[in-house]
Amino acid sequence: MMLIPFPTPNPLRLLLLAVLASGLLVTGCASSPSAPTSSLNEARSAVVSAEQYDAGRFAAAELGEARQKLDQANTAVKEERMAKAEQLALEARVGAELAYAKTEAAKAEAINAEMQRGAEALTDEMNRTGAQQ
Amino acid sequence: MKTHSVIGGLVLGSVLLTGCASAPQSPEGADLVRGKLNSLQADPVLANKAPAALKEAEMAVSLAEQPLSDSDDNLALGAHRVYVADRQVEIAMAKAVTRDAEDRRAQLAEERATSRLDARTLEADRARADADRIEGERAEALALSDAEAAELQQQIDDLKAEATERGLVLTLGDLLFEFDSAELRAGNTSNLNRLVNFLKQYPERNAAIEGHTDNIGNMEYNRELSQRRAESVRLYLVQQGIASNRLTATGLGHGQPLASNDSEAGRQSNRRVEIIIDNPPRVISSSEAIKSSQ
Repeated sequence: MMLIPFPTPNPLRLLLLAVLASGLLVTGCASSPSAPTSSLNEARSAVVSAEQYDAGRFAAAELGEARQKLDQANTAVKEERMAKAEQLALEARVGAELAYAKTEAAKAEAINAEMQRGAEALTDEMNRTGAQQ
Repeated sequence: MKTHSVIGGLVLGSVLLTGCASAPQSPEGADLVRGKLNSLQADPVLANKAPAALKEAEMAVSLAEQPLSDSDDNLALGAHRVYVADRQVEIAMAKAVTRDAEDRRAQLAEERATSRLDARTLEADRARADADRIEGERAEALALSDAEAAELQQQIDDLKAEATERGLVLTLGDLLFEFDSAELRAGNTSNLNRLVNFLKQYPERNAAIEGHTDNIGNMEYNRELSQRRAESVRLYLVQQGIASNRLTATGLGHGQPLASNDSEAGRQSNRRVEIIIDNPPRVISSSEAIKSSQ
């Protein structure tokens, strides 16, 4: 406000100021923006969790995509495209969370399948020894 | 002053202009994500399995559907929101599948426990059936049906023999013989005849004949008398048709008195012939055979 060299504000000028200010905010040229650090950290953390949970085995595509998004986010930060970096970081995070959730589902179903096989083997054994009698 | 107003006007104008250029639209792909969400919400199995994740997906889809005015930034924003919404729907789906699997696992565990119980019960039943079968075979081997057992008991009763661990003991008294003689008295042989019948009916049984005396006289004499008496009985049985190799005759003198020799009654008791009919040869069970061979 102090930068603008007119002594008395009037309604039109107030409106102009508001528009300009919002325009500046939209284009982001007012100050150098900061990197979306917390979003990036969350994304990194989610990717690591998924990796440790063996998502590479059960949800390889989803994990790969999440890693890619994270790389892109880091690149965007270097290019100072912070809004873009923020979006990519968020996408990386949900992507990693999906990889994790899919791995959970795959493991849960594998356990059930094993139990099913176990019960069937038992039934087979019973029937087989029954036939021998 | 005029310049500022112009700039102001232009900026204002451009804002208004872009506002009117095209109506805001729902980002591309938002409808597809909505469709995915609808499918999940309509799934009879999965719809209720992950309520929190489903709620989050719903919010993300709603946001993705928000119409955006046409701009490069909004294009990217729209695409971003659609992407995030899609991932959220997929997450909700995966969590529902996991929960469903866990719910079914309880059922599976129950089924497996039932299977195990059935298998163990089956094993137990089979073991019992095997045991019963072996027991039955053993009883058969002894060749004694209920009828036969009753018959045998009747015979034993008729014989008036006493069952001991040595076998059936039939005691023939002093009156069987003439005094100081090994000669069988005629007409006193009904007991012996019953014995003959018994031995004929159960040909697998053998008999040991043992003669005893009271303590009158010396040991040697008594032993020799008791021996001759035992042999008399043996001879009689053989004459009645019992194979001689089934019979042994021994004289034991006065060495094994039944009663005290101080009274006549006691001495009379001691003057006797005992016939010990052995128990039938025992059928050895297979488990005993295995044990004895080890």
